[in-house]
Amino acid sequence: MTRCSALPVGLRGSTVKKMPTTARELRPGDVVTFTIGLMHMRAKVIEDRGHLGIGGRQIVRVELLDDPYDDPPSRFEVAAAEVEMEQPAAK
Amino acid sequence: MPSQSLIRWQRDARAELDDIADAHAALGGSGHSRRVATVQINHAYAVLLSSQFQRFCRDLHSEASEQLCAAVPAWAGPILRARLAEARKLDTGNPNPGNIGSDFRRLGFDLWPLMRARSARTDGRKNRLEQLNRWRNAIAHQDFSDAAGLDLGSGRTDLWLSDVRAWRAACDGLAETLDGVVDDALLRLAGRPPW
Repeated sequence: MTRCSALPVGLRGSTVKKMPTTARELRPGDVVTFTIGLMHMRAKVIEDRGHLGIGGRQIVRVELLDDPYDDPPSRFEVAAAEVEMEQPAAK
Repeated sequence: MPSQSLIRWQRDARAELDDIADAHAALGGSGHSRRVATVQINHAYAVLLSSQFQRFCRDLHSEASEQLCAAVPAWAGPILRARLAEARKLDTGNPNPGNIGSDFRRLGFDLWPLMRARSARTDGRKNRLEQLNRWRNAIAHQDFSDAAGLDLGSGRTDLWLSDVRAWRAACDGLAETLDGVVDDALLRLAGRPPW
């Protein structure tokens, strides 16, 4: 698994500046995993929302995969720093 | 200090809108072919304006959501972020006053009364925004049958460049007011300036 930003999970504070990332930024088509509450989720990135997060963190819009409850699937936003890359988008 | 969303609106969106305004100014020819081209460019300008304003509103909503997420315990941030953006109307719908008010209410404040209190010009601008979105729908669906809804004054239903310019000025004003209202609301909610 590759973390998708150099900024650690749970980083807080408006004075934090964007740091250089070691991995590439997320882009549409990437499949990622993350935890919300007690749930581990798998989703596809459907939109790069840009650096709208605290300190310029990247935010992406995702669509849940293997979602047993929603038709259509749930779509929402996550911070790139809080997800793990499972499968990069095909070039 | 403005939000990143307002900076993007005032820099990137302005540049793209200026491009299409320049295309209008560069139109050559005369007679029927020029009139047809003018109409098409005016329609494209209106649709682009509405979509750029939609982007601004979505961006500001996301940016404000991030500020709220930063003010809660780390474990709660991802839950809050997901819920604030899930089924957000501005992700799929026009940036009409109803959709904007509905989405921003999720953040814990009623936007339009605060907008009115901040700027006496809000109601006039809001009416122009509603008119812009009626035109966006008409153009996108090529359905101009709602003559009353598309009335640009004295029964006129052909779109002029001056109409789009007026809508653009209204969106500029609304963007600045919206940015200020969200800034104030987040300061009151989270106890610190958001940006």
